Amino acid sequence: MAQAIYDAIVVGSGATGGWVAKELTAAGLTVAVLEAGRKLDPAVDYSEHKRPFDMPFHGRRLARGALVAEQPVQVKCYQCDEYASHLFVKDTECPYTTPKDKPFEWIRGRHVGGKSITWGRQSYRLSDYDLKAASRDGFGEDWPLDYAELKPYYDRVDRFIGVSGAKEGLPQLPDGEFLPPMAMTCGEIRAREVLKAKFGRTLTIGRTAILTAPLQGRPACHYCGPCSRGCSTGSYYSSPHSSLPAAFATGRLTLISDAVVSHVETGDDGRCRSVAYVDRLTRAHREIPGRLVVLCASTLETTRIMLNSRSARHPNGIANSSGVLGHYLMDHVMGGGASGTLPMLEGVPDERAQRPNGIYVPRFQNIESKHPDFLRGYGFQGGASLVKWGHAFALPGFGASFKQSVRDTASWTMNFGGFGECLPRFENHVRLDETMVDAWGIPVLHIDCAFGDNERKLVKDMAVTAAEMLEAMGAENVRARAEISPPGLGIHEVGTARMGNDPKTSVVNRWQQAHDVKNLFLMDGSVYPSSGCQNPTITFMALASRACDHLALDLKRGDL
Amino acid sequence: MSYAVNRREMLRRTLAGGVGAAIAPWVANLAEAAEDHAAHLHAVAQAMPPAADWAPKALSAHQNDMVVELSELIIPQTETAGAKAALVNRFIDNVLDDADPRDKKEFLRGLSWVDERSKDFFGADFLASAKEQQTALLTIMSSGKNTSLTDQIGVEFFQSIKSMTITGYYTSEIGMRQELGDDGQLFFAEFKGCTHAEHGAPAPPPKGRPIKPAKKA
Repeated sequence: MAQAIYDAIVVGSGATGGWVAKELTAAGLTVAVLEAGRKLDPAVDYSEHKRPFDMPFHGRRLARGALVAEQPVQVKCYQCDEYASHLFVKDTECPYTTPKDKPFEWIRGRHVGGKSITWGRQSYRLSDYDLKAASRDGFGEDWPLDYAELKPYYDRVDRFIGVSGAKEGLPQLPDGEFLPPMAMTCGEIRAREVLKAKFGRTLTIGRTAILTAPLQGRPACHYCGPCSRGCSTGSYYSSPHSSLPAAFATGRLTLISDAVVSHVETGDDGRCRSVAYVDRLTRAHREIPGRLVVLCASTLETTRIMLNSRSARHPNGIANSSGVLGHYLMDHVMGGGASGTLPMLEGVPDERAQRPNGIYVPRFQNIESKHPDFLRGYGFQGGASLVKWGHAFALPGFGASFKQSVRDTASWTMNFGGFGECLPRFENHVRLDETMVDAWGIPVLHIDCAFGDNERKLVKDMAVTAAEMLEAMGAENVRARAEISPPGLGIHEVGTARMGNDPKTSVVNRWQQAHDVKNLFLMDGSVYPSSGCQNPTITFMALASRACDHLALDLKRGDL
Repeated sequence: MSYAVNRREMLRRTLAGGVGAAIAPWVANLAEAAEDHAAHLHAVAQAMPPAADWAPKALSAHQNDMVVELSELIIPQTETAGAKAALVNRFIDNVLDDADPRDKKEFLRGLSWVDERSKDFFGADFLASAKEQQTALLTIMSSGKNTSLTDQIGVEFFQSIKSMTITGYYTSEIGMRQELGDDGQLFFAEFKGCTHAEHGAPAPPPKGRPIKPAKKA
């Protein structure tokens, strides 16, 4: 029986894969989405409404035992806990290697929806300070597009997924088409005033892909709190509750789960012909033909698939005539910040509703003036909340007086944690590790990546400036921290198949089409030429919309 | 991301800074394991079977009885229930069962130390001593310093059981509901934020609407 030939094979069903499926089916294409993992059942797999005492007790399935044995890397992610560890891969099935002295913590989720189920939902636009950073300070390469080109696509994403936030009119953090902003706590309002008055810096409520008003048939957030365990009402953007249903509604989407993609098959002409995958459960090898291929497998999986797509025409991996594929890996650097208590708020109660959002201090370094020590900058995320018992460890004594003192000394605590830009460096790279395969026989990645001097300086500066801001607020017990995090743990990994106008120094063109292979497109974080410091998902999606529009136009013209 | 200050980070610093000297690695390990454990299962004790069907896994019956009494001395019943009612002993047993065996050994050594000192001072093991005597021994141990009456084992053991009791109690159903005022409501029409004009609060946000809980199959 002849197999249907799809107009487009999309690899990955996460934030971008689902979005690309929506965009391409809307443009009239037939689309097959391949997802490596299983379909989730919200009734079983989501646990955001479980009370602690509803949790079944499974013997030794605890932090130090079973979790660590199968998920030694994933468990380092703050969200990979007993409630949600099944939303993260088993590292034992999906291994990778690193040099001994260069850890890289690769956090992944393999299921329909990918990391759009567990993501942090913070949504910030890049500006020309980011897209044209190289022109400003001479390091690296500009993006082959500017903010004016990207803006209509950010708008399109905002209107569909819903982003709540407040307009601030900042050139370095363009405003979006926001739903109403979430409210700030007492400490955050104070911080906003002090930062503006004493430092000229803006503190704004987090811009987050959570609905504060109904949108596209999805209800508004009900403030239960732990989004990362899944949202039964679909009130934050995740592909299974938003973009994939829209794609299905066209009648042109086929979703194939449990399809672990190994490589792209090319014809004698070097063009993509089909995508080869392994059935996750049966291990059967299959191939699905398509007129064009869009990789949305996540930054490093996309590059892994490309490196593993080797043929006579593409001996070093598909679309790698430049030799750049796998290089310029980046992740946002973390580990700098400070916290302090706010004595002026003593006695102010908190509220039971849980706001799944914090505050944001947009980048302020190297905007109007040039910092002598480092390039680029960082943004702060954080918030002020009432610490009701976390301080108990520091209180002396025991007994009834101790119990009372925990109540009496509950304090509002403000925290700032930085996310810093990572400079693109050729030596930070991935390649196939020919000595190891995963559970499906596919070669694994060797990830060779380390932060450099500029990132270390950013982390130090985060600690200093965060402590200064807290002291200016009148905070007490101010504690600064500057312990640089290992790359990967930001879970903002980008680059390794960067876009650019020159086929000798980039993998895809400004439309995210491979220079070497006209019917191959990359529409996830792999195409980033530089990292900015903003949480990247909404930019992946805006870029993908732009690329999809162009792709559809080219198809119409017969250019593909 | 973690928006508020990370409790584990606070714990690590306060343990390290609070007692003057560097914290013993095993104390920090168990305290952090308790934090992990609480983050994963919160009030694990409540998910467990009633007393008749429950038996400790890491502790002997005698050791378990000691942990019950020690945890209740640390966070006793007042106008709200204490650690004993919150089944903190079960929480600690779980943490120990899942802990590095070396850390568990240190903890059990501490329990033996408490019994030995009770016999030295009061002529009876800890459980057989009077409440005033138990309190007196804990007071010595809680000083955080080696003295003629206590030594490093006692100091470290107190830090360990206190930190695990704190975590276990405040993440239990009793701790959350009675002590921290969690009323069990899960669905809210809005997050109000600061409503105090004196803090510079803006005009109230648009009125939210009632939301029905999602139906789960």
